[in-house]
Amino acid sequence: MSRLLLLLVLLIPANVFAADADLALNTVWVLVAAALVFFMQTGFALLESGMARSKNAVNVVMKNYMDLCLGSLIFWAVGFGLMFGVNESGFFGTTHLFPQFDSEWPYTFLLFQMLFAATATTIASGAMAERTRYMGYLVGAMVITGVIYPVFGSWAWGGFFGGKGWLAEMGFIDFAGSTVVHAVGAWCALAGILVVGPRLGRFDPVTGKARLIPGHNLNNVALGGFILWLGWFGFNAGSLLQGDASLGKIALNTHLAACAGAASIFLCQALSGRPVLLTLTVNGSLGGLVAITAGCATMSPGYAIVTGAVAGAIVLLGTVMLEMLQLDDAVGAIPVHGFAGVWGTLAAGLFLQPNPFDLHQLGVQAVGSIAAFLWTFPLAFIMYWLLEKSIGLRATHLQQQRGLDFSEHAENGYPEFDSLHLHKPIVR
Amino acid sequence: MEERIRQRRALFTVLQEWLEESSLMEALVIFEDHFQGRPTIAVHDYLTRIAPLYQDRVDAKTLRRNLMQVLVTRTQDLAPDPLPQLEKFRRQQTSGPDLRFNAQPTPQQLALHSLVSAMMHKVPLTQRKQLHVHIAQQLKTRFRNGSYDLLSQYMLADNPLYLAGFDDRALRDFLSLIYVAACEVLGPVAADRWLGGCIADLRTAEPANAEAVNRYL
Repeated sequence: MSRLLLLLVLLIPANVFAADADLALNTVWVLVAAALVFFMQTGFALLESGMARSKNAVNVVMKNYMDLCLGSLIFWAVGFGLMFGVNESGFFGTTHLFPQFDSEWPYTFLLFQMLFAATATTIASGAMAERTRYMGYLVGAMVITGVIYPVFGSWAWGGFFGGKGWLAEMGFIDFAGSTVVHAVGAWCALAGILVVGPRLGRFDPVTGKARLIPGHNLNNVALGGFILWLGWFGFNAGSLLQGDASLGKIALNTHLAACAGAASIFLCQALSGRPVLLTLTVNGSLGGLVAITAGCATMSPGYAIVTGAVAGAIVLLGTVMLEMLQLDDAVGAIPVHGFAGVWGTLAAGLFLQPNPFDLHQLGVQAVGSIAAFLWTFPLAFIMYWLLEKSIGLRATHLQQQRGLDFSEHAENGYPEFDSLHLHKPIVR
Repeated sequence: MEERIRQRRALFTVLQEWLEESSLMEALVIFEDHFQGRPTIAVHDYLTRIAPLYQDRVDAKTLRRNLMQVLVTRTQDLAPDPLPQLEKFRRQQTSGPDLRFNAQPTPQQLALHSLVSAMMHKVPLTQRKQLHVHIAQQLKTRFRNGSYDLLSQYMLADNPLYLAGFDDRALRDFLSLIYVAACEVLGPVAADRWLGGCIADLRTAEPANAEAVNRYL
C-alpha cells in the first residue's frame, strides 16, 4: 500500500509540489509577519500611554485599541478597494469594495495590509494624546483608514488587481512604507496637533519655552520600544510577501538601522551636553526603524547604518524644532514618523543598490514625499477642523483637569496607587 | 499721618481716571489695609494686586508711571481726600452681604471656599500674584454680566459671600479656571500636584468638606 502511494506521488509533476509549498510557505510567513505587525499595536499602546500622565493612560490605550478595531473594519469595507483595487487612473482603485476573492492568497494579503493601515492610523493618537476627545479622534481615525491612507497608498503600491499608481509608474521606491505608512500617519498627526492645540501649560506663556510633561511610566515606554522593534521585523520582512533568502538581509538592515538610530541620538545628546533621556533614545531607534522601512530591501547594511544614524539625529532636531514652534507632540510622533520617514524615503533612492546616488531616483523619491504631504496634511487638517467644529475634538479644561481616563471612560488606570485627586471618586 | 493722607489723595487722583467708583473704593481699601506706610517701591506689588480691577482699561506700566509722577507733585494739585467716600464704602461693605447678595453661601460653597483658600495660601507670594492676574484674565473670558466682577472680587477679598450667588456649574467652571491658570503659571505637572494635593489634604483632614467639594470636581 505504501509503495502504491509512493508511486502515485512520484507520478505527480514536481513543480506542482513546489508551487503549493511556495504558497504555503508564503502564506505562513506573511501570517506570522501580520501577527508581528499586530503586536506593534501593543508597542504603540505601551509607549504612548507610558509617555502620557497617569490620568490619561487608559484613554491612550483605548484609542490604540479602538482605532485598530474600527480601522480594520473600514479598511476591509472601503480602504482595501481604494488602495489595491483595479487602478486604471493611477489615483485610486475602483474595485474590491467589501472584497470577496476567488483564491486564498488575497485574503492573507488583505490581512497584512489591514494591519499596515492600522499602524498608519495609530500614529496620530500619540501626538494628540492628553487633550483629544475620544469620539472625535475615532471618527478621524476611520477617515484616515478609509480614505486618506488608502488613496495615497494606491499611488505608490496600488494595482494589486490591475493598473498601477502614478508614483509607482514614476519608479517611486517605498518598500514597506516610510512614506506610505509612517509619513502619512505623521502628517495626519501634525494636522491634528495644529487643530487641537497644545496641552494646558505645555508652553510658558511669558517665555514661550516648552515645559516638560514627563510620562508616568518610562519602563512601559522602553518596553513599547522593544515591542515595536520586534514587530518591525514582521513589518519590513513581511512586506516581501514571500519566504525567500532575502528576508535575512531585510531583517538585518532593519535591526542595524534601529541600533544606529539609538546610538546616534545618544551621541547627539551626550555631545551637546544634554541629559541622555530614555524617551529620546527610544525615539531615536524608532526613527531609525522608520527610515530604513523604505529601503530595507534595496540597500546594503552599511548604508542601513548611515540611514538609521542620520534618522536618529533628525529625530532630535525635529523634536527641538517642534518645541520652538510651540507645537505639542506628546510622544514625538512627528519627528519619528514624519521627518525620519521623509529622510528614509530619500535615503532609499540615494543608497539604492546597485546604483547608489542616482539623482533622478532621488528626485522621484522627493516627489513622492512631497505628494504625501500635499495630499495628507490639508485633507487631515480640514477633517480635524470640521470635527472640532461639529462633535468637538479638544477636551474641555475641566476634562483635562480631571484627566481623560475619568472624563471619557469613567475609569482609573491605577486606582490603588492614584495619589492625585483631580476628580470626584468613581462610583458604580 | 500727613504722608498717609497724601498717598491716599495721590492714588485717588490717578485711579479715578480709570476706575468706576466701587472699584476705586475697593482699590483704596486694599491700599489702606495692606500697603499703607510701605515704601514707594511697593507700588508695583499694589498695582499687581489690584490688576483685575483696571487691566481691561489701562496697562500697569502707564498706571505706575502716572502714579509715580503724582506722588511727587505738590499737594494742592491732588484731588481732595476721599476719606468720606471711603468710610461710606466701608460701612456698605460691613453690611455688604445683605446689600450686594441675596443669598448666604451654602455648606458646599463654604467647603469650596476652604479649598480655594487653602490652595492660594499654598502658593508662594510672587506666584500667587501671577495666578491672580491669570485667573482674572480667564474670568473675563468665561464669566459675563457682572459675575466676572464678583469672582475677581472673591479672589481679592477671600470672602465666601461672593460665591453665594453662583450655581454648581458656574463654580465648577471657576475651580477649573483656577486650575487652568495654575497650569499656565506653575506648569501642568505642578498644577496637578497643587490641586490634587490640596484635595487630598482636604479629604484627610475634613472629610465632610471634601465630600461637599466633590460636586465641583
